[in-house]
Amino acid sequence: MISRIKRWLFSLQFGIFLLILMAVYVTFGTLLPQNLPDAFYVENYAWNTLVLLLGFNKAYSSWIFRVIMVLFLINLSGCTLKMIPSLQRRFHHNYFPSPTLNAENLWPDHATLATMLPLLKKKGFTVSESPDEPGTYRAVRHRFGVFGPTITHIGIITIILSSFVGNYFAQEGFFNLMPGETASFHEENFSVSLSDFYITHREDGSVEQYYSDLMVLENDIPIKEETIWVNKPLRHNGMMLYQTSFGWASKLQIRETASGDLVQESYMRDEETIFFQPAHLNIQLFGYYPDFQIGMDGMPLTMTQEKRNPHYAVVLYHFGEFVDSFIMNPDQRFTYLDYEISFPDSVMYTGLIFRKDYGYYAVLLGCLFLLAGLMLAFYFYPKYIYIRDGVLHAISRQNSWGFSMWLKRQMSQFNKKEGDIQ
Amino acid sequence: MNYIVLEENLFTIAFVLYIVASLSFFIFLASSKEKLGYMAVSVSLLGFFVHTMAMGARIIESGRLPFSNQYEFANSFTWGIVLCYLIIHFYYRFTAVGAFVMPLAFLMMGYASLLPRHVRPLMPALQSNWLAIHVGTAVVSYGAFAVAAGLSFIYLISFNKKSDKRSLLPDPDACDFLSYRIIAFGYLMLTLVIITGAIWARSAWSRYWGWDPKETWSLITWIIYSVYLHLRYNRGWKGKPAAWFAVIGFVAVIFTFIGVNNLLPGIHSYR
Repeated sequence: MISRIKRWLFSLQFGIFLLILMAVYVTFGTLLPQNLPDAFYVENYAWNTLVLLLGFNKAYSSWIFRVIMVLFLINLSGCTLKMIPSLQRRFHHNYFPSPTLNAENLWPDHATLATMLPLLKKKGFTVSESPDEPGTYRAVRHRFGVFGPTITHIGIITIILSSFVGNYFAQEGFFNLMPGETASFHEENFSVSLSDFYITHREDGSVEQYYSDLMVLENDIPIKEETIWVNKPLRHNGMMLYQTSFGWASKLQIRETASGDLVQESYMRDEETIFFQPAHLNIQLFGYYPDFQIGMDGMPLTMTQEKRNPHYAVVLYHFGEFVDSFIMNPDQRFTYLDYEISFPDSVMYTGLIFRKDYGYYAVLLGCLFLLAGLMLAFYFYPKYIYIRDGVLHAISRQNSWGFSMWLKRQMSQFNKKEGDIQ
Repeated sequence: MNYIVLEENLFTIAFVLYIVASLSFFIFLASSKEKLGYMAVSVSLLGFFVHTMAMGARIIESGRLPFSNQYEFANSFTWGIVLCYLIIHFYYRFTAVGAFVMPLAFLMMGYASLLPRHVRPLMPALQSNWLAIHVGTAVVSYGAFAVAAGLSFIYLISFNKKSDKRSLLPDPDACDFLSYRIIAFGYLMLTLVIITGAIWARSAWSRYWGWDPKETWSLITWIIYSVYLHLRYNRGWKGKPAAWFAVIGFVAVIFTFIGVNNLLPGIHSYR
């Protein structure tokens, strides 16, 4: 019973079944929005019970997907190990497959053994006389190619395992920095400070690139300065920092109307609310629009990210009750009770992703194995030629037709040169 | 010189030549006249030459390879299909394959002609040397799968048809084998597409794999061809089932390109 289960678990049929199951399962992941609250699926899908039961709402991290992947790993590992004895046998220098009964005879009209054998040697074949049949020769090339599928499988196993392990232990997150601000990575014993963030534009107003000038500090001592942009992350102690997004931080100033004294100054990001206790005011920055316009729907919008016509949309609440809303430019201020409120300027902040992935280089190694294995399996597969005076058979398990075609082309020169190939 | 106007004119000429080539291939099959076959191949070759010039004009105008939006990729995809067909034709002399491949080329070019053609500078995420390698290998891979699907069509027709026209078609067994070899090549290229995409994604978006719909559908396509190659190699799957599988694989390729871009938008949707 156990051996039957083992045979089935390590079989090609089961592997194919798992591959198809995997393809079908992830297809649902592309068709359904992922990782939303269960209520969303209940409201929007008639077959929500099935969606939630089978984990289609989080297809790439559901337990079903993980089980499929683990079974696939077991199957692939078993299949690979199972193949090794037969591959070792086929790799052995004595191994030579027999031609099939109806194999086509490719022997050219004007060839002789004396001309044929040197030609095959010239083409990279190892030619030897058969120990069992004197007068019969065997030519072999790319014997090592038998390991192509095995190396491919090892590559796939390495990729899956490394990505599992890598993602499990990966550190990842997102943070914003305004110029002058610092973010600390305590576990990594370094911090990153933003010297500047800027956007370059083309003549047509489109964004050319986003740049963050970063400074890496260890124990508050600057170690290195580097400018990063999209596609050019910063690397330090295995941690990667990526340019991901940006936004505007607007300076809020609150002054006493009578004295003109500045009583509060702070930076606000869009949709942020600040509570000003002395007046029991909630000041919400609805949005900052560097190139302000009123849209077709009557809502404010920005045409570009350049400060051509900066405006702020501000909403005011007093004791939690809506008071008023304003659209104001940096030179304007509004007064409420005994205070003047203004937004004189805004600065851009950068949005950075940090990620430390322990598995990436192992995944890369797996990819190299995968490519090398496929190259061996498809192009450097073992090629055998059975030769006897007047008989020539091409033998290949992977590509019998293609190898025969190739050999025919090589043999055609015998006809052209009437037996003289030198 | 206005290279954009030049590109548009050359694109239109190439499109017309591909239509003429497709019609010629059909007439060749219907009339059994060898000369028409030569003519169809010559028109395809001329169309390919003009198409290459059109792409060259766009490259000069934009200062980069034409891989950055749907129009440019559809255009390059068409170019890849015709290139793969011509290589196969001149190596194996399978004239009739054109009747099944050139219509795919002109349909893809027709799709390209419906898309906005503006030459836009590269957005920040696309400013990478990986663009040329990643999309370039995709063009070759998709082109190879298209030719393999064409050969499989021929096999299916040859298999079902008992008339004399069959003699004009290449040997069905040869189509079957050749389709397999071309799929093996396309599969290797698709693997490269996925790997180069992963390396690029890591430097642009921090993760080498993010289950974006385009990534996932590339994986699904890769799985379909993996199953095909395993069944073919280990189970001796040949003939009709293999031909149907090659056609299904190509449908997945088309969905990965057109369907995903239009129906399942994600971070790969560059319009």
